[in-house]
Amino acid sequence: MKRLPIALFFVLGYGLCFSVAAQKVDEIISSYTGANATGYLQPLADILTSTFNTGHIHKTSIDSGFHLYLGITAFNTTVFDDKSRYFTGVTEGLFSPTQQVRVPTILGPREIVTVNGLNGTSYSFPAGIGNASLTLAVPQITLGTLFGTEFNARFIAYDFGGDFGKLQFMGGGLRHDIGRYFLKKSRFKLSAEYCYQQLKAGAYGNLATHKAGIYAGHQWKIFNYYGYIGYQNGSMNIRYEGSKDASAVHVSLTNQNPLLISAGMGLKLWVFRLNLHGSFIRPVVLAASLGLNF
Amino acid sequence: MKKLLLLLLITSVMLQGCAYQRRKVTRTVTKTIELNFSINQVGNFQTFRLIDNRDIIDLFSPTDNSVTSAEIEKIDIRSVKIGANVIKPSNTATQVVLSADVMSGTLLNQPTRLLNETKTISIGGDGIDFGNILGNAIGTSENITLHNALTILNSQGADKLKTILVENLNNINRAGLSVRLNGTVPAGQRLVMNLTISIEATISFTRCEEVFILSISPLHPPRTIDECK
Repeated sequence: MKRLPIALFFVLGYGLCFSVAAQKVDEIISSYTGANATGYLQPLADILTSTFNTGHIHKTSIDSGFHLYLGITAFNTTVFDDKSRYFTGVTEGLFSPTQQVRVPTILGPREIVTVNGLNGTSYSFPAGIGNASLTLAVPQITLGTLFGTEFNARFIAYDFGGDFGKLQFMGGGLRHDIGRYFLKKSRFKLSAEYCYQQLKAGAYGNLATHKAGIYAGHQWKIFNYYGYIGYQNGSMNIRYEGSKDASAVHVSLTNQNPLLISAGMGLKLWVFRLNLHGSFIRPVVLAASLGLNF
Repeated sequence: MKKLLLLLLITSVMLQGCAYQRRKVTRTVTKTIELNFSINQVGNFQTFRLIDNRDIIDLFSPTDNSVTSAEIEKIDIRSVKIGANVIKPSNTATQVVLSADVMSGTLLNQPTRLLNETKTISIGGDGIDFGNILGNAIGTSENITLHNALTILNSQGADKLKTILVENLNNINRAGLSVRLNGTVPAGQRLVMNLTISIEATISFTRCEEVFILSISPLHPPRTIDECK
């Protein structure tokens, strides 16, 4: 019970950091209402899927006895590649002639692209938000061990009120020590993992992610490192009011970066565990976690 | 208990990594300017619709009028639609030639042609046949069949329309926007119809918005940035 106030402190504290950014959501995502909406918003599905699928473990091995880890994982996702920053937009509606042009995605640069049409008409494609970096943090609990398996859970929620409503993130997963069957006395560790996570962003949409993969690396008393290869899937549904006079717009997205390759290393500092983790397939995600390991 | 207090302390330090920043954000908003004309005239006519300054601002920024505090990057006229519905049996006109002008406020002596004359329009049966010059119907609005009117849009009128919108959104000009509809009907005939002109306009603007940035990296603590100075 003594840990409950700390958990609440994590949730409320980080919720405050998100609060203002959420106020402009509708204005940002409603820049497009037609076929271009998918291309404009696609990087969100890719980036959020990769971000939340990073940094689940705090050490390479799975302790054989009972253990509890309580920590916080912070992510920084940086967009370097043009594929996440640009897409091919097509002029829509009655605009003539129809033209295709390379335009910014929501994570692209703050530049408006305009093409000219018949008789003084012109068509401007919206700019991106110009922010190629996303930083956020979630608390995590890991509990084990049951038949060589540990379980983890992440949860964060905050009610912004107003039109946005409640932001809720939750996820859970398990990791099984498969090395225990054939690597009993080795420092080389092998484990398999599955995780499911869900993000509900008020009335605007939701994201559901799955990932499954293999960790392999060495574990010493203080230091550990590992590599990871896995498959990830993210399904994102976005709903917004394109116009006060029209029905709501629904956009369904699936991540286009199913392969997840990453590496990490960790240190034991007294009762604390510090872990650094990086995913290197588009986009680049860096995660740092710090927590208590009992 | 000591461990938990230490964790609480570390968490508190990490939470200091929230910074308040003012960033420039560019937005693009598309709106439709709809002009409805109810005509009940014998012979030639002119009728106009005024959209006042307040309505122009409300159209592009219905919630917080933030456009007026933004730097307008540009305005585009994407498309123009025109449609009409003849009211029977009051209507006796068999033909009408339509055109439209745009002007600032009520400056009716300074018109710029917005829609060129549509000379082949003729009335037959239940409605006005725009099909000959404007192609097939593209939709309906309140029982009015709409046609793409890009071919009769006048580029000088489109430029004038953009100028008036920008001036009103910047409050340089508070007179609003007028569109005048001109009609030529055969002598002695009464034209009774509802006519709609829909103009799709896009405004792109940049404004300052306040955002919070979170960072827990001691190497890259969040900075207080003001891009709007």
